[in-house]
Amino acid sequence: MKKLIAKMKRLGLSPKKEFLILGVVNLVLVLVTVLGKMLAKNTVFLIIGPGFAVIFSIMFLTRYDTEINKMHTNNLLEFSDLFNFFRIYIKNGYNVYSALKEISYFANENLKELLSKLLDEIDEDKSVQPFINFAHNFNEIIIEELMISIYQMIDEGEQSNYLTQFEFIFDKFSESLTTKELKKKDSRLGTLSSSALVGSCFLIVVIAIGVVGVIGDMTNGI
Amino acid sequence: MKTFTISYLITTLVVAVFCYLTTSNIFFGIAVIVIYSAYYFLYLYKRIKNYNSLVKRVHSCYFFINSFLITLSVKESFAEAYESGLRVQDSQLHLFTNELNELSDYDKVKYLKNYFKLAIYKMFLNVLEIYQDQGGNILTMSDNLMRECTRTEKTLTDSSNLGVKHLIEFIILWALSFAILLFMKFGIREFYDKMLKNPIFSPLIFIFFLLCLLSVHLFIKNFMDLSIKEDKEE
Repeated sequence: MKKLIAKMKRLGLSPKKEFLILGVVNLVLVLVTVLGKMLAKNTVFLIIGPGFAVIFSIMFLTRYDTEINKMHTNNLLEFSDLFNFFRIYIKNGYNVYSALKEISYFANENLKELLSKLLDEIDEDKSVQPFINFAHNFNEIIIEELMISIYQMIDEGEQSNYLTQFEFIFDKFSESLTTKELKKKDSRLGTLSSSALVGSCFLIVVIAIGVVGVIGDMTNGI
Repeated sequence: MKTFTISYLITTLVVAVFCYLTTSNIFFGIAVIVIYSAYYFLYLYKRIKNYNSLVKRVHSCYFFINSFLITLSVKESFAEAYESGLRVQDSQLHLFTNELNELSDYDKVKYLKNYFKLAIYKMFLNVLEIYQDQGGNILTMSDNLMRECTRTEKTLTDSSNLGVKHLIEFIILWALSFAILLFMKFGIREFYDKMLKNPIFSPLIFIFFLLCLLSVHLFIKNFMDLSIKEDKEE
């Protein structure tokens, strides 16, 4: 439970609100089941209602991991866009500090906050630590490598070999990210295009219900 | 967009007739028309329009940046570079630039940010500003920018090709699902009519039509998901 609440908080969601939504939807599904059974006098409602409730609860409670992964991917894409601009600034004579300041303009709220924290830390600490702290937000070793090469640029000057090193690592990172995203899109669209099979399965269940109903009527002599 | 709207409405009508035939309930048929049309006019129309506009702007922007920079490096003239950038086939862009005749060439280029509304164009303007202030070789100054344009263009094309490939699969598979229902209705008509007497059978068939719409929605949402950085200033 603690893990679940931590995930909700990480996504900026209120645990109270989340549990309230889950409770209300399940309550509505229970009410529909009871009403359906009472009005239509059909026991199928006793299977469909709770079935929907279980499916909804599982989908609702497991979506946090997907959302966290999505947030992580968005951060990586944003990082890739921003640091591409960063190298354009560096190539055009900006120093690391002012280039980092300039790219903040393009950043989304999340990255803007991280960049501003990085700039504040650089003001106070001239070691590599602020760059490593910044990289830790992305949980990717390649970003740590990139940030270290940026730090080395400060030490050795922006037009040094470290710029080439940064560009080499960045190109590798950017390319692998693009390929990964395309593969993800391919698999996502593939799954969705086979959603018609889910429709067919649903249809088979509906037909089975119909057939059972007809057989039931026949046995009851209707 | 007009052709697409007409095609969508015809498809909706066919699906509604299909729903009426398979549920034998006119209200479900009408509900399909209402729900499918509402979905189109309240959400899909705007989404497709925005997607088309963004894709067009991105292509025009990248063409403009590349042509502008190459011409500028060869001819060293803003006017000629601007003219070469405008060779892109984008009627909206041409309409937009028609109103800029009184501005200087550099200001025209600057003002185009209001049309493209993309972060990369803002970056292009930054490079151009540095070039104006300090001079230098524009191609060296902008090689990363041009590389980024090419990379994004390629990703956009690959992504669109993937989408079209899966769209065809999606349509075929859903058509097969509908064919099963059609076979049930007309192949075993008497048995099907008996099944329709079950009070929950027709609502469940109606839910199948809603599932189809939900599936279309999720597919389109993913198909049109582009990670293009727009300029927040606008």
